[in-house]
Amino acid sequence: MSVAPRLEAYLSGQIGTPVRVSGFARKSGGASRETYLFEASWEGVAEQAFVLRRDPVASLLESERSHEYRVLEAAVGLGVPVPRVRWLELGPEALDRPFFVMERVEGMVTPPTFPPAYPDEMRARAADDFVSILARIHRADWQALGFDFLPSPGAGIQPARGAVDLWRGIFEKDRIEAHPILTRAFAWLDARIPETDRVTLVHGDFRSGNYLHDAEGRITAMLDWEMAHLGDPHEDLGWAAMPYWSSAGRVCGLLPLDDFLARWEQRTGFSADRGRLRFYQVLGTVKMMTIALTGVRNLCEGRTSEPTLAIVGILNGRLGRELLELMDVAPGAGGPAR
Amino acid sequence: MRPDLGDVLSTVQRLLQAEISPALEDPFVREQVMYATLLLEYAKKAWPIEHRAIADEHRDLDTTLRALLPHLASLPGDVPAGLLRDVRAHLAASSADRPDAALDTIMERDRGGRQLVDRAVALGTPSSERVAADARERLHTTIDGYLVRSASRQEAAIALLGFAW
Repeated sequence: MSVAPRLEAYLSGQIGTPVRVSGFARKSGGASRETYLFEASWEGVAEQAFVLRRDPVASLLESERSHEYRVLEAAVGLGVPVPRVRWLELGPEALDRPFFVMERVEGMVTPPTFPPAYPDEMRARAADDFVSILARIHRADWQALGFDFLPSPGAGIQPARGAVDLWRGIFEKDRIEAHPILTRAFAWLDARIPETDRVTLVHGDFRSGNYLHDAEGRITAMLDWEMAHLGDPHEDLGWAAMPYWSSAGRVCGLLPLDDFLARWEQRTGFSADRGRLRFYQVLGTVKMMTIALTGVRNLCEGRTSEPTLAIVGILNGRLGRELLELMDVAPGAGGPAR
Repeated sequence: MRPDLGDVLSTVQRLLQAEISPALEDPFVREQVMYATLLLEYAKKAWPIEHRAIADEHRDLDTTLRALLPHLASLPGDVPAGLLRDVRAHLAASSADRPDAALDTIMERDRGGRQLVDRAVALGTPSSERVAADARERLHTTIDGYLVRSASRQEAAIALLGFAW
């Protein structure tokens, strides 16, 4: 049986009355989850728009099943726009794999960098919201808001140490061949573990492409919280400021780096440390290459036929060059001439 | 002789675009077909020059590994000695490969070569106490040169994909 009637049966059981599901359609993107859009109606409730996020058979990212649901549940308290989550199912009975359902928020999705062709006023509004939302996440009292279930580096361990070890573990598990650039990068990171002055909530994937915005550029929902954790706020800054997501000298295609950091400092009251930013740009690039390698492994071992995983894997070539530049390896590297 | 590989890939592309995609009702599946077509286009552009890209990588790996030999030989300890032995064995096997070896044979050999470069990177890290600072520097300079050239080759492949943001 296809997904839609099974979802209808599941929701009817949850709500306790017959539910009608319509317009059920899979949406592209979100390679770490299968994303479906649908409308549902039941007695006394007019048609409502929802999003179903289901674990894929194999993905770019193997995150904990209930993690994103719990983060989204708690994120309501942050005062940032997030979709309201409604149902979580971890067992295989209903739809074969774990999934959750959230209310659909209207808005447009951008590519991983805000399109240069969009009007400047639209970009300016999106940029302003982008920094404001990030500042709210970083200033949040995460304990009071119930985020203490999130992964944290552990007592006495620097967040950077924890993050490097986490991604090295994923890299070692998922690589199917040697990647000397990444081995070199992990050595670079090991030699430069920075100390952190504060542990905050970290979104983990804060960039263009992971929010919805309206026609004026206002951000209507921040999405993709599956990598949220507790750590150094510079991790989000470094990730957003990766060359990979930048265009025309703008962070995520939105605003110049200096402006991004100045506004973040003003809205958080924290200081941006350029050294730590560079460390987390390198870590972010390592993380993205590792995520791509997880997809490549799933592809090469025949667990998925998702063509975008091959595309993301090919794009790792660009990340490799950017990684070497961030580590200052590219400009003066010598070695044997061919 | 026609059809060559490019003709075959073009035929599959046309089949997907002209016959299969219009018959699909699901926009998501149609989009997957579009991505598959993009990958076929990539394969079409890559196959006539793939032998050059593989030969470049193969030659560079051999040159890099050969350049590592004196540095490895100057280092004390079992780990550099073991790596030195393996690099020599790899180079001997590589030079014995037939000039008309199949591309997948050469690629498999190169996977082994990159594994050796990878081990040399680990040898040059600060945690390797046995490696003196100047020897580590020489190792890194040699390896970094290869990494830069290798990254440049991989990035060139992205241009064939014609996909960016």
